[in-house]
Amino acid sequence: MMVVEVLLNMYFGGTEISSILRTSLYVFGLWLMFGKSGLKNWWALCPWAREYMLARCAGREAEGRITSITSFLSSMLSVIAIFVRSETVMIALGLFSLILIFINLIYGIRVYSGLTEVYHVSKWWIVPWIFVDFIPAVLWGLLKKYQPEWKAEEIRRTSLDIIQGHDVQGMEEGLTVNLDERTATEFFQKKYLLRDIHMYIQPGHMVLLLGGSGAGKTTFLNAVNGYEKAKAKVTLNGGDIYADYKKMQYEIGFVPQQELMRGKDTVYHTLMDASLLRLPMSLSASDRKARVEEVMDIFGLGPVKNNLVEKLSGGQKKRASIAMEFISNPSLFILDEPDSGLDGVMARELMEQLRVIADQGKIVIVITHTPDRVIDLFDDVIVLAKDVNRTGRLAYYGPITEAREFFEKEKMEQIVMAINRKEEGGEGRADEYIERFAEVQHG
Amino acid sequence: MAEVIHKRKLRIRHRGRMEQIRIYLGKMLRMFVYENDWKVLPMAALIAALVSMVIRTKFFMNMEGDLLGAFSITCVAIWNGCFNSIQVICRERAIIKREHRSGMHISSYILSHMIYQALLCLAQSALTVVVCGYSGVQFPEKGFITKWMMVDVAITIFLISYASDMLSLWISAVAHSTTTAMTIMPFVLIFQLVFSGGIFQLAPWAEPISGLTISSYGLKCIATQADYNHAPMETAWNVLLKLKDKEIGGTVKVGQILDFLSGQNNSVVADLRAKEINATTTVGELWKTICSSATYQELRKQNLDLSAFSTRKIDAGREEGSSQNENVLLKALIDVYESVIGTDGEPIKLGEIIDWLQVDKIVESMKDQQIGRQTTVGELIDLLASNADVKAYRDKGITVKTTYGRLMELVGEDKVKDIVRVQTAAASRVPAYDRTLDNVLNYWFTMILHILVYAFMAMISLKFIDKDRR
Repeated sequence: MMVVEVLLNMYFGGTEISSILRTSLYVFGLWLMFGKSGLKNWWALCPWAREYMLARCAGREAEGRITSITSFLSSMLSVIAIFVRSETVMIALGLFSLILIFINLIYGIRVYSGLTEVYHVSKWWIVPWIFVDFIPAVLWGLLKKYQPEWKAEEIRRTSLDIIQGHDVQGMEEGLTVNLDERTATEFFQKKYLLRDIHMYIQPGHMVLLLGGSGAGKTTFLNAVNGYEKAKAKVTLNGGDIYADYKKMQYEIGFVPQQELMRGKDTVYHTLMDASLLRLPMSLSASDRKARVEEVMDIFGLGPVKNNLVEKLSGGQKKRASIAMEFISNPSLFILDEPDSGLDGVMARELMEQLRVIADQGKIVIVITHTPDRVIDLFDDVIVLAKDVNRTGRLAYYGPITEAREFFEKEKMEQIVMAINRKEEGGEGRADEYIERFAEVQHG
Repeated sequence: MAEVIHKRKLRIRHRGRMEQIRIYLGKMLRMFVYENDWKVLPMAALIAALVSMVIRTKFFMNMEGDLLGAFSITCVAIWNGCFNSIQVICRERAIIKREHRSGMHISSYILSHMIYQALLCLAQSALTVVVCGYSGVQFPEKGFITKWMMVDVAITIFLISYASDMLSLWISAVAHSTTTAMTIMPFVLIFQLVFSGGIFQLAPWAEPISGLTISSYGLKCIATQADYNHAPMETAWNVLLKLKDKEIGGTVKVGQILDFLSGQNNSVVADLRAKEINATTTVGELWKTICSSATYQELRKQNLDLSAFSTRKIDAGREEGSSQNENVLLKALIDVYESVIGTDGEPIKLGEIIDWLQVDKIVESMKDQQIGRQTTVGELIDLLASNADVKAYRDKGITVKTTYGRLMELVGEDKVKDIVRVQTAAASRVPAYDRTLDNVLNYWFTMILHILVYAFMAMISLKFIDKDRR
């Protein structure tokens, strides 16, 4: 009898007829709604998982994780409550349940709000979803006039899966990237962030990295520099970055988008500490100091060397941030939007400095959202795009001039527009270019 | 060729963990000056001054003061420790990620924080003790572990605040923003204070939870060092003083009075009984002498009160109390209250009782009995108690009325005070506060364990910084 009670509590949230009836109708409604959204109907039968699936229908997966977890915990608490005799424990369980219900409510509202957007209905529908969820579930499931705008399809295998880039032969000098896949697991679900990116970048080249938002630009750079490892082999001047990361990390300079420095430290001390971390121990103190002075001169930081970092102008902060990485004279220099927040003149000046660095035989990879004003400084361009499965793929890699021909666009910003999804205001031609470039690679 | 160059590059050594500790320590010391971290020191002094205003007349004086002082000082130490480090990691999380990417060792970073925070906590602990001393807290001169009590207490304060510091460091390593850390912070503080177990009586189920808190060990350690178990207790005595003017009364049987006067174990009665009487006379003559004396006539007019009876009850409480560890205040109150049955009545005079007992008649039957030797009051009382006529009145009730204050006056206020303070303190003894080397070292060791565990957890948590989104 106890087992039945436990099971009823877990599945229906109570043992009363009303609870059973209510949940049954809710499941029926979801069964139909999931079908409309292109999901497997049987997910509606799975307690807790159906909350997540409903959130997927609404395009609110992150919120769905929370609602799913909180409803699972609530069910567990209701089961525990059956066995508890202590008043104190009951009070504690009650309080914990209240907190869970509150969290579930807040995130539920977000999910329902998403559903109203997807189904193009009034926001007032959120109220019945909160209090009598089975009614909107059944109505939206049964009535034809309620149709979702788009489908939350299962990750399906498409023709793009057959595209397999060929491994690029590792060269003695330069950067070779053979990335098969970069995945992440979110809520027991494996997601492909990047797939099949293969390229070789020569020393002395300054490369532009283009892509719409969410295309995986930063993920790609993190995979290349070895900080977030992918299923890949990346070599720099003959050295395997993944295998010898601890040593190779000093060969790579990564300048993040924000100026991540301690504002209350002086420029000189910031660079001195950077030199202590990045330069070899064999270097004498005087040589190290000389290198710091040299870098300060290159980036025009000499006059402000005793200023606190927080007192610097935007451009000076950017230069200080770059100088921190440049101090170790890396072979591969990666910069994530170094020109953000800078005006045209300052951005141009900064990019010219990067060109000088590239001309010293370094590889410089730059992400920028305003490439056209400095496009003449770049040698090559990498274009990343989201395919139909929202996985970052290589849509193009090669010289700038050929990129214009390949995309039949004059400006780099037009290329980004071409590969962006339609709902992002783009042309939605990413898959076309990915396939075409794969064909080009295959010859 | 490239491979050779590459291999040569791989052989280049960069700064290892120990060197990096030095780098970060230097950075933190600069932050102490520029980032206004120095403000935690005057803040600690200010908090100590505020708290010592409350505890200065009580701490190290009596049980209540010791507990209050131990709790307050523990709170101050936890507060200081928590606020030292709650933001230090989360506020520069993105910077740490960048530096980690550039070769910074997480272990070096955490270790440098450990050293830096230890210095801060050390300074704060010293300041706290000095300020308390300056504000009038009477630290005993002789210490228990070291030569000076101030140093003993300072070490404990340091361990409490350092353990809290490391706990906050862990929270700071887990939290991704200062807002998150500052949201978690109050919960941690409340948890530490509520489950400290000193001021708040904990249910049995809460005891294991209390064992996880720093505050519990800190409070026990300070209470132990203050010698809580050997300090007097004031609460019961203060309550008695407040009840001084409260009238009490009740009915006492003659038999109860006689039994009480015959009791050998009561110190008050024993003194009376031991009193020697030198006389060579008869009972009749003695009685005549007594009756004709002005003192006796005066005594006859006095109201009878329950002083002796009440004292007996308090004294009985001592024996019970020493064998039980129960709420002392209640015990003292119950003892005194139970001594009075609670019926009001007209005050009765001693003369009336003597007449009512028909002492004349008794004396008449014994009037020729010779008292030719040295005797004691006790022997006279026993003689009276064994008399058949007196025995017949044993169940006779006498209604009396008095006040607590009058009772205390009769027994002696100082004597009652001593009895109440000492006996209630004995009943309040907490084994965990016993002033033993084992206890103190055990608490210190546990706090050191907390420090290491929290620092380790901070290190492990920060190891996952590369999993941060962006």
